Amino acid sequence: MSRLKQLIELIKRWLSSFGQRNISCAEFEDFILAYLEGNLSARQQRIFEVHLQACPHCQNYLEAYRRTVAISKKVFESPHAPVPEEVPEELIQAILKSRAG
Amino acid sequence: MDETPDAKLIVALQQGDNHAFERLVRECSPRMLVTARRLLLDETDAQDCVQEAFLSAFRAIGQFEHKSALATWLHRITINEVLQKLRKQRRQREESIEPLLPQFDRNGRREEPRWGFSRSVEQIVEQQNLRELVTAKIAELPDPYRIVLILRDVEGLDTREVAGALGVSESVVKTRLHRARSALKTLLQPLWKEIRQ
Repeated sequence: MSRLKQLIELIKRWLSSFGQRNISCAEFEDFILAYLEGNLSARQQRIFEVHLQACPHCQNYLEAYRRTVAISKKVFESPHAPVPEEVPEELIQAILKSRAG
Repeated sequence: MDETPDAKLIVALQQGDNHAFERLVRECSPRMLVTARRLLLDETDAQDCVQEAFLSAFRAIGQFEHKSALATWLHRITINEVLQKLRKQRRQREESIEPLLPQFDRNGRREEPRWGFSRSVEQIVEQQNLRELVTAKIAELPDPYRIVLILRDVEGLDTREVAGALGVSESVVKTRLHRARSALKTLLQPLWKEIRQ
């Protein structure tokens, strides 16, 4: 079989297997971002959620991942990040002077 | 004519009003400096970028098109100045992020401790010094991932904007973002309590 035909067969097997078997945790990992952003097709989402429901390790991981994202966003929003620090007066004056210059 | 405070300030700026320029600098520089500090991790570089950002803004104020608020416009100029500086420096930390990423066995099964979440996110966020902890942990990420994480999750740019600012594809941004978040999750392990099996 020519190399091109071998490649086509390999791609076909990979595509059909994605819909016919549970994905592994490593494959699940590759789709987390797209899942959280709502960018999976309906079919991909079903496959992702089948694994999620069956795998306590990925459930736990996804929860920690979501919390990480939520915490890093919240921590930099006010009131947790109140009025920004004072700007050195020397910097203010340097900016105004450079405009005048 | 638009009579919003921003609109009046813009008119004054475009007329070269010195008081207006000083007001702009005093009102907007704190937020710009915070952004520059987060990305550059160096105070001198951060202040330089803020100064350059204002100079760029002063030169371009005549062409300001009111498509965004002044503060938003300055924020974007600041980010551009920071990224320019980072590109010129070419001494980004490029160490591998792999040790911080999830590991899988040869069957693709996740190899990771399981964590207990006894506190809600809101309770965790109330923890004293959390901002310092998270800031310190983000600073530990290799620069290509750290910068994408800050631009997306902290500074609020979308994927398209980050890709444009960095000169990379959206696919690269998404990959770096996911890896940065995964690595940060690992670094924030003190917040999660391990479940003893």
